[in-house]
Amino acid sequence: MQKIIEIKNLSYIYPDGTVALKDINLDIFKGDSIGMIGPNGAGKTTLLLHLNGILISNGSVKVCELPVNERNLDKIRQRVGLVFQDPDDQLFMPTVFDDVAFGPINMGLDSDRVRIKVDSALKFVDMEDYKDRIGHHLSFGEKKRVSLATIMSMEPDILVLDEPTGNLDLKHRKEFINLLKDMNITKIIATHDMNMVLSICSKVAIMDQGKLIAFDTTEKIFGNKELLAAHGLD
Amino acid sequence: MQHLYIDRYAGLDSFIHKIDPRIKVITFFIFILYIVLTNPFSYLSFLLYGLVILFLIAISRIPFPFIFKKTLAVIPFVVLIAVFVPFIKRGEVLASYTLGSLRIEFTREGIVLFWAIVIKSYLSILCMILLTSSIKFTSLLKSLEKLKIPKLFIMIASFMYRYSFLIIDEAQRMQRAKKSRAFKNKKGLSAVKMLSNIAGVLFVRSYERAERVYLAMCARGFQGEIKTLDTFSIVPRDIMFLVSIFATLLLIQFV
Ligand SMILES: Nc1ncnc2c1ncn2[C@@H]1O[C@H](COP(=O)(O)OP(=O)(O)O)[C@@H](O)[C@H]1O
Ligand SMILES: [Mg+2]
Repeated sequence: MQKIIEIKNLSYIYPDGTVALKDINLDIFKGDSIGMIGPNGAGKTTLLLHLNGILISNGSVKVCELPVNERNLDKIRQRVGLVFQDPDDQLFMPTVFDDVAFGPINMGLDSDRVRIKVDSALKFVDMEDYKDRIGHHLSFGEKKRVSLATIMSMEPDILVLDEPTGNLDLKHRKEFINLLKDMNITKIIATHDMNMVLSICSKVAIMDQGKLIAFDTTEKIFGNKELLAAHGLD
Repeated sequence: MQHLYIDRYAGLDSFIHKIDPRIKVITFFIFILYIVLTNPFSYLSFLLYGLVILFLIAISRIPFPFIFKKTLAVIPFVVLIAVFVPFIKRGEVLASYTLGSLRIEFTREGIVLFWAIVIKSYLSILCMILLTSSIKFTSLLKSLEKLKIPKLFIMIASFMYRYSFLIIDEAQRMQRAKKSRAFKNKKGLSAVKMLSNIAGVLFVRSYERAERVYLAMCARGFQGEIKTLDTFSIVPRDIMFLVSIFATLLLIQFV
């Protein structure tokens, strides 16, 4: 199998002195679907931000063999699509269309190709009729789906999601999980939603206090009740 | 939460709404130019301008009360500025009063200028409001961009449009949370304190949000310039609109 992400000895300290990541080592293979679980403040978001070079620190992160550094940022950001937790951060353009087109336009596609990508991404999340709608007129569930479309339109190899089901009601949560299930790309999902992890993730990483505690198949991790309980994840 | 959108009626489907946004911006800009440059004594011209605007509002199917209510928000500022003009402008003195050591003079030129400011700004405001309420704000921004207004202004306006509601919501939630914990309605100094508290927290939160939004933009390949697709196309109807308004304005000059 092809190693698609390689993280070696990654540590990160925020400018204010908070130690957010301590010596993380993690290999992710093509087609993996990884659930990253752990209590609030464990460092999940910080780790995700390293995957497409939003944060860069000592230690090494490689995506498709490319080291994540200033020089490779363009290529890396086309490969790794990151959906932020709060859809109001993800959707910053006035209309849904402009938001979904933002990534493809920056990738330098011509306008016909951009339109095709936007259409298929919106169709995928079942929001074709919302093209001209305005960001702040959408419901929370709709915003979440459009957020996913803003990344899908870039057709990344790796999809990185930060708490995709947080704050969604039961019905929309289910719909969203089904959407993710239908996608056959490498996925890395930080979440508190154990049921989602069980239904779509092949592997699970447990993080706590900036450290990677365990990384194994979903059955093994969920079989180990003591481990889960030790990190407040039962 | 409910907000008053400036482009609440932008979704209508009238002749005015269908005009290409760029053409509409240009047409109304010319219209305002004509209004501003008209001799203050051509009362008939102003009357005709007013009638043309009323006609345009009528075919736009935007309710008149909506438009006039909007003008009320601006007119006090105009009057506030204009009301001092008759006293300041030098010229033929019509009346003068002495208040102690202060001498106040009231000139004919001043009154003419006052009238000119009020009527011209009112008509211009009507034009602006008809323009902004018959065009989606997003299209307005895009057409301004196409008309070579600096990108920075467009970006600022677009973020204001996208996030001002969010900030208002946040402020309302905080105020509600504060109120639900305070038992009596605070007045005076403590109310000011509470308000400044809210303002402070809002500022910090907006600052943090701006940072996160910037990261989200970078994650999708942002490199210092927002690019959007051109979605406009000019059809004969647009040109006809521009030409007929222009012709009307010219005709009005000759009456
Ligand atoms: N911008 C920041 N500045 C300083 N500290 C931060 C910042 N963002 C997060 N942290 C801190 O880093 C740690 C890890 O946070 P985060 O990665 O957001 O955790 P998680 O996503 O698992 O909840 C926490 O202690 C958090 O307080
Ligand atoms: Mg987080």
